[in-house]
Amino acid sequence: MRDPRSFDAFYTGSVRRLVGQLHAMTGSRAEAEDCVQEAYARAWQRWDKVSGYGDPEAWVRTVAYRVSISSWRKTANMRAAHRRHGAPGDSTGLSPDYVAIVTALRKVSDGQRQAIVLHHLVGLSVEEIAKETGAAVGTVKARLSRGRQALAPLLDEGVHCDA
Amino acid sequence: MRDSEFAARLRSGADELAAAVNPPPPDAIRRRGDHRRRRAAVMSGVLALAIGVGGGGAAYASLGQAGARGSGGHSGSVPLGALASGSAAALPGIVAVTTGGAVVVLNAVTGIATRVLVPQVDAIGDEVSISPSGATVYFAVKRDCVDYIESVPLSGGAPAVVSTGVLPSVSPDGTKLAFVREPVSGGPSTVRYGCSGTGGSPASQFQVVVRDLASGTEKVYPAAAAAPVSHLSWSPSGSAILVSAGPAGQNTGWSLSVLNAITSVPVTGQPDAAESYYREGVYLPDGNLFVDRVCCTGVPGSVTSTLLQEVSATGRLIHQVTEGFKDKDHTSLDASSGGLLLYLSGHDLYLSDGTHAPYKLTSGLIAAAWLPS
Repeated sequence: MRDPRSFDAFYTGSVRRLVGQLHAMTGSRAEAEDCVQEAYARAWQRWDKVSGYGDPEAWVRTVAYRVSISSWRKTANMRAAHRRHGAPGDSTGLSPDYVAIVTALRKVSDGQRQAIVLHHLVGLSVEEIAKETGAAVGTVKARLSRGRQALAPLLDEGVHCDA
Repeated sequence: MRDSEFAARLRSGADELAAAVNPPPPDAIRRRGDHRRRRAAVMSGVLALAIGVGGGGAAYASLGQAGARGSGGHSGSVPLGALASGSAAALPGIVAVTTGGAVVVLNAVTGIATRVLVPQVDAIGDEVSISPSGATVYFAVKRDCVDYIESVPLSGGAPAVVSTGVLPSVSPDGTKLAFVREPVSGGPSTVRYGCSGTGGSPASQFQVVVRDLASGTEKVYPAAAAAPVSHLSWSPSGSAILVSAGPAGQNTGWSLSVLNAITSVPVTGQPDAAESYYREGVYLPDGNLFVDRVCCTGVPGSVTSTLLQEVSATGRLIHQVTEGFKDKDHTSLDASSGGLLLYLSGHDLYLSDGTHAPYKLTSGLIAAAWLPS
């Protein structure tokens, strides 16, 4: 039995956060909003199961990311996003630092970008990222390391790992 | 910039963005989810009805209002009007070749054959192709160990021979027909595709032929790989043809190559880094490829995994559509202009929109392709 109250509370409490995370992964606010809404709609479609998962937010994030990387969906989403939000221009009002980071993130590989966002923005451990993305722990470590190295020149910085 | 500083800036920016977002109310999202749920229920209900009436998956043989009968001869047709109310009624139709050798048009919602274009002509698979205007269907037939490409108007009529060969594939502009010919030493007019006991190595004899449909002139290219060609697919621009070939000998060395007038380029190393092979592939409307990627072991090889995926033209994984059946061949891959996918798993026809798990529409087929929408 799907409980609309628990879904509404979950949605209201997490949707903005997930849009922020998807924006860092996709670089487009309109696309992030569309993909996240699509993922929540799918979550409600099977809320009796998803609500029982340990971390429904991770489920929605994973689905939203998968929706975003499907090029067919991407094309359709972009058209829909243009209709709803107008042409991209969604960096307005954001700090230049953040815009620079998101722009640089778009220049690294999909896997590296996903790992970096999940680690540095969402705060997941390497093991948690491996579980969420289905990649091996070693692969996630390599993606994080190489991703940060790839970002360094794009952000005009040296790489300094925390001890 | 230290990792901690990088993370702090990223979080601060994402928080800023999140605060500016104005999401729709939750009831709007629930309505969207409910709509999806109802649509899925309609689809599965219609599918169950089609399979039930069609006799355990042989739904293609049950004909609708057109009144003709398929090779299977099952009775108990479903009125098409009763099925047209589903939201998927806007799906393009499907042209298919049945295991009985007939060419039929299927309703993509029900899987039921709505028309028999050519009954019992010994049509062979795994490729059937429709002109972009939707006016003409090209298919292959076998007569006395000779294979012919034939065409038939979608509106009905007698089939006409186009050339010798198999695996017809019409170019996106409808002016050219690519197909495969396996000539024996007597010349290109004799073809022995699929006939046993004729000797020689088929690996060196397969040719990809591109025929101008208006003038009848042909360009012949050597096979793109040292193995029997199994499928052809034009790029959306019409500038290249994707050639699926294999297996090579008793091994599992399938390959996928992009053939244009000058070069033949493998999509990726064969096998690739994961020791997988591309069993078959077709172009998608956006230039990416829909492929069956197979991993295997031993000689002769046994399949250990078969994955239906969207990959880039260089073989980079973009999206996994589904995991296939290890004990079945996945053939007759096709994508509609809207990105809908179909393929055969053995003789079973599966459909997918690319994001949801494919579902079995019907059985008893050896080739299928979308009609233009």
